[in-house]
Amino acid sequence: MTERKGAPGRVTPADLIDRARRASLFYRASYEGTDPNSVRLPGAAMDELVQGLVAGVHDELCQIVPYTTASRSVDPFSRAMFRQLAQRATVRRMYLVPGEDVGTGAVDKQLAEDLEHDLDAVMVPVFIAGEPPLAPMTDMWLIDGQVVVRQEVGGDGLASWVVSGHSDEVSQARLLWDRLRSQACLPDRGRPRRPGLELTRWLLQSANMLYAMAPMSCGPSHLDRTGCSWYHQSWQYLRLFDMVSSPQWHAEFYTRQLAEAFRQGARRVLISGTADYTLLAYILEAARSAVGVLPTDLDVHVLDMCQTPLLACDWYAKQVGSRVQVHQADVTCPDAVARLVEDGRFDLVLADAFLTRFNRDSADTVLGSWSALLNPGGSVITTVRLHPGNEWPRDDEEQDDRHRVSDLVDDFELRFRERAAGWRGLLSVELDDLAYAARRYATRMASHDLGDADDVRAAFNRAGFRVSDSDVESVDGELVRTQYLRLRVDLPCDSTRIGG
Amino acid sequence: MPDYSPWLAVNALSPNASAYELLTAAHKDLTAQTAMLDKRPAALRVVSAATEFLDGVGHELVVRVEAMGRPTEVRLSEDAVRATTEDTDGTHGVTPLVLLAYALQKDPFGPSWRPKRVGHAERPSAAAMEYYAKLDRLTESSTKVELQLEEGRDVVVIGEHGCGKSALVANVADKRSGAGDGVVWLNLADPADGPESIMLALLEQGRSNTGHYLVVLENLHANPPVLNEMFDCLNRLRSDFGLDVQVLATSWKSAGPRLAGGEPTRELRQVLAEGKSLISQLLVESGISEANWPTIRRLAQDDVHIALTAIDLYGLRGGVPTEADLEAYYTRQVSTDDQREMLYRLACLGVLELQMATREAGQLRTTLEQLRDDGLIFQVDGAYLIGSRRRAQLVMNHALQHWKAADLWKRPEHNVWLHLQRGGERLMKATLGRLDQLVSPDMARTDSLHLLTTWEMLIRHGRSMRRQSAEDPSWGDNLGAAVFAASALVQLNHVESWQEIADKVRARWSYDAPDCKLPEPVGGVTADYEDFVKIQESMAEEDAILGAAPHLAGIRADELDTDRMYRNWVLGLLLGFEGAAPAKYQDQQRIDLLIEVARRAQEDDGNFYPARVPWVTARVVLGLCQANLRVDHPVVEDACKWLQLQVSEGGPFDNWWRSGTGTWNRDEATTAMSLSALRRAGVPMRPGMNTAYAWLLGREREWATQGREIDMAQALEATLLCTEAASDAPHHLKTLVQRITTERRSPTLLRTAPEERLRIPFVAAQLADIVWRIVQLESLKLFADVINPGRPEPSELSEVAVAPQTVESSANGATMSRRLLRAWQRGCEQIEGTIRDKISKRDGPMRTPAVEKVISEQLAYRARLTELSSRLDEHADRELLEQIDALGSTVCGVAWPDLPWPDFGPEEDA
Repeated sequence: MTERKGAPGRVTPADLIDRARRASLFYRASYEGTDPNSVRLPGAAMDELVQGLVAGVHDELCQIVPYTTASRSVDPFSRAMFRQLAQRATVRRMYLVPGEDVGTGAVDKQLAEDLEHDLDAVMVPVFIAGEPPLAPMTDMWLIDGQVVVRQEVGGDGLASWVVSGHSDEVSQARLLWDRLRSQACLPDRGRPRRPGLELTRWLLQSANMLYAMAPMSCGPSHLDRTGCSWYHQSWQYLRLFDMVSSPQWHAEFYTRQLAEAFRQGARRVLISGTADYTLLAYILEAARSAVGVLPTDLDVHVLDMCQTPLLACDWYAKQVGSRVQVHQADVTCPDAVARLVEDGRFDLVLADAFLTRFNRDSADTVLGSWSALLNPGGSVITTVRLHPGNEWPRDDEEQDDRHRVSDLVDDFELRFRERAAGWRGLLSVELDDLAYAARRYATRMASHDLGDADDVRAAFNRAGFRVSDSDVESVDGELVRTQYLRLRVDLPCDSTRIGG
Repeated sequence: MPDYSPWLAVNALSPNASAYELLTAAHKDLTAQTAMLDKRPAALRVVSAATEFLDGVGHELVVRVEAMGRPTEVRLSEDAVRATTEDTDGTHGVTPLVLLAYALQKDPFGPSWRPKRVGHAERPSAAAMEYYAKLDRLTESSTKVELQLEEGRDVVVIGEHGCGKSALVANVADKRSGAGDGVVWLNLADPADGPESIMLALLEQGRSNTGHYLVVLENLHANPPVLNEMFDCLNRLRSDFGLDVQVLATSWKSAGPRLAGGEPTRELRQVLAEGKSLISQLLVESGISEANWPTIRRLAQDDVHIALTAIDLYGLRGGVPTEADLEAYYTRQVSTDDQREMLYRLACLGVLELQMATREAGQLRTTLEQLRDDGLIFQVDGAYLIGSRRRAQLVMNHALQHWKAADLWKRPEHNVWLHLQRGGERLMKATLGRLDQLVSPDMARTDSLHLLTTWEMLIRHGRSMRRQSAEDPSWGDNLGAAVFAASALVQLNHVESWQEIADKVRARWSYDAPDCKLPEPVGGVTADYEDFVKIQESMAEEDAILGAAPHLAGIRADELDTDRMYRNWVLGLLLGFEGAAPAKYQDQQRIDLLIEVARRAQEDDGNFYPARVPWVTARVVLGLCQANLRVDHPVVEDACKWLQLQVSEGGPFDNWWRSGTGTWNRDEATTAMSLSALRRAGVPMRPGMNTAYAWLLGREREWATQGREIDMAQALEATLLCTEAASDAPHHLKTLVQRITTERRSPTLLRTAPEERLRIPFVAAQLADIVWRIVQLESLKLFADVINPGRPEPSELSEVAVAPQTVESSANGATMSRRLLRAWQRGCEQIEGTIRDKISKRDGPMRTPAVEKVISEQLAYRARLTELSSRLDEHADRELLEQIDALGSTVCGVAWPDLPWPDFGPEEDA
């Protein structure tokens, strides 16, 4: 056999092994780094790292541990090592818990277990909605106030371990530790509460379900006659990061109005159009609060053209031990309305930011349907976006920090990326995929201008309603800061129906 | 006309005037200006104004504006009046009425509000209207438009360039105006046209006789960022003032789907205008024989304006004009260089459907007015334009071929970039907003290019860097940070900041001594030197890991001359700094001195010390490129050769470039930098470079890691330079923008990465350069489409000859069927497309001899193709087809298809 032109001479197996060793050295230098004060290890080297470092702890090990209820695999070796360490040194641990009551039971169990093994553990609630997290949601340890051990997430989302003795990095870690510690839930301090219902626990479970399910379960809807999976697929993730309009933006309004309605005896309730189960959760919570227990005669129905939010409501109701009747139908269709009232009319219709899915003519039809669905004296509790209240991004130098760029879709995506980047470890879907879905949502979402508050109230009046409570509030909005009309309207007891 | 000073009363006040006095004077000025208007009440009429005092707010000028019996109250604050009247040079032209127009916008006066020029609504000139009237025909589109308007809808006429949409709209608006409707006419090609322009027009124009107002918005696609506010303003005119306002707009066809979106969803009915049908009507009416219609159609390419000109010329000459005739006609009577230059520049802009604002014309305004009066250009709503895109194409090609325009007055894409830079921030944003969404009049993008957002974030960073630079132009005595900040600031139009930095940098480094080997720091090393000490430590760590076998280049850390390495790196930075200086600060003597130092500093094998660290050589090559040298210069050539030399041959290339400094400047950054240096020097992509680029792509996990934004920016630059395509850029732009935005809002905890001090200036400089490069790539795509493709002139003869089904035999006995002829014509089109692609890929700012050679080769192929395809008809002989076939193989390579041959019979023996 002739030798190929330009091919190197044959080398021995030993030479090849040597070359491989040399390649390994180059790889090592490139991976672990050549900074004398820090070193990087692959995620798979955790046992070796724990083994090596635990033996070196003299006084104190402080650990920040993001706690996820979803699927945090607890490494038994590390757990054993840290418990062992706690017998001879102080091991402090802070669990960063997304939301206020995420798996409270599980976290409490973990805290008790740690206490039993002499670990000084506390829980720190970290709010997902809104701004990016104050702390990186990755593991970080501080050893004797001298060395920081932290996870570094690569471009592919996989984590490495970085151990650094740089003094500025150590002092920053100390500061972070102290700041988080001041926000910890200590027995004497109680747990901080934010207005509205805390649904983070449920959202973390169902967001991924909806993401996977929507392409199959979504069909034509009021949002999009060709299919609304672009909407439902990303909606709960967007909701998690407070990017989209939800009842949470009007928490006090819904809580107050629902409590009053239930006190007045409302029992048969219809949710007309919904993105997920948030409104249902408000109803169940308000009914429980108003009466003390969930009334046995509470009869909640959900109406939507798309199956996805109906499945979400059904899932949530089962999770909280309740039940709900779902109807896949078009509220603008008289036949559908007629079928819905076959078993009786409703005391209450709820719809959050639903009316602006329709242009003015169709919105009038929806109001007519609501009128037809209600018992005389029944009420509609709803919010309506007021486009005249839109606040456009300014070109000023001191422009508000919310809007930093004038392309509203880019701004939306950028905000989403910023908010979600710190939570990558918690999300079951790749950040880029979610950002793409967020962008698609912002591009395709349509909202109709139904005029100002007077115009909207007039439309309800035309449909035979009497406005009993209304106010206008500014909210952060989805693409731009905007205003919503929050209103409760009642059908007079002697009303003559004009719709249905 | 007597001189009119809009702020006469305000300007007469002493500087210490109280708020009350100021606002009272402003009231007086407002009253004076409104009194000068038409005697008829304005559509939006000022009914009263008074200075009032409000607890907690102070004095304000309260103005009541009324339309249709509904008064609305607006408030002018002391700050707003002061900010406006401090604009003493009057460049913004903010009069009391303009200020009132601002005030009528919702909450316009933020704490940092400053007046800007407000575009005035101007209807097309009488000459333009006369021209549009020539195109007034009853077509399906015009009928639909009138019907929708009658139903009270807002309408947008969409269509391809030159389809006659402007004429359609103008003729409808003219009829409405004749019937007594008020008409407000805005051309969004002027980035200063916004909602305030509409308010101002209604404050100035008399009330319509019918109570109806038609707002004409031309070129909606030209300024996407302003649309939401514009339509919000129109809604407010309806709801707050009770005005009966309708919109009649025009836009590119590609923008159609996007126009329906917005906040809120726009109820804008779209009507498609088609040039074809209007051209048919014009031809029918022209009296030209039907046999000539196809020729005129092909010449016009669905552009009604070209068709109209062709018909006119036919009438004058009695024959169908050629493209050359049209080019001559559109450049007729041009006699001076100034006129040629302006016509060429307008043509370059016109190809991208850009226009030149009157104010941009500056001293050449007289020239433009002359061209306008000669009918060679138009003036619409404060902007000059050349006409349709096809006309722009003809004029540009004429200028390139006959006036040597590219040599005399810059290449087309450069003219576009200059236009954007001179046009100011709003024009830049409007154009980037359009480029983000639309490829061309006919094609929309599936995803945004993210340029506008990147640019806006850069503007914010630019402002903050400008402030930082004003406080400390030496940037903490860190040369790297200062140089990269200067580069970013220049690109973001803070030119004066460059000068402040230059004063420090030039005083800090000396290189003018005879036989200077390397730049000498004045007063001791700069702060960056500390980094090089750490770099040496990092190299020592690397040596320790690698063990007994020395590093590839054989220089151990303990043998390193740190000072020499540091000063070689400084040489690269200084070359880049001086080379990229703004024109008015450029000092060629300094550049020449630095190039001479580089010549002396270069090692015999081409590297810049140390050979172990290729990024030092890459930095010097990048600096030399910024000083406008390319691979034809011996220093650059040797350095580029060395960079490409394999390790086994004594070079640094090992299928990628290792940093040699451990993980201080990682292999990824070193490889990206080396690739960029080679590409900027004009080295074509060679197999080794392709391998290195593939390796870099595979290392995304590393360079995309949070905290390594410098590496990421370098990888992105290398991608653009290696692929000459922007398709992968937006994804990484988004990540980079998100990271530096987060960083700006809340500086990241836990970071002690190398090069930390220069991270933000470096990334900002890179991003600004990347935006420009993408704009250039996108512009080139459009220019490549229209730069004379060398098609044979359509002629009446060939048109007639192709038509018959049966043809006579050719000289050598064979004839081509229409199917065969079409196949060969398509082959010619493929050759032409390949040549165009090759030229557009090579064409750019990097005009090296190698690039020039490739381009001239392609131009020669194009000339040959033009000659061959002009002879291609059904009589084509074997020899001609063989020549086309050979040219196709040469140009297209393996992509050249086996075309069907006619039966020429057996080939004769030689």
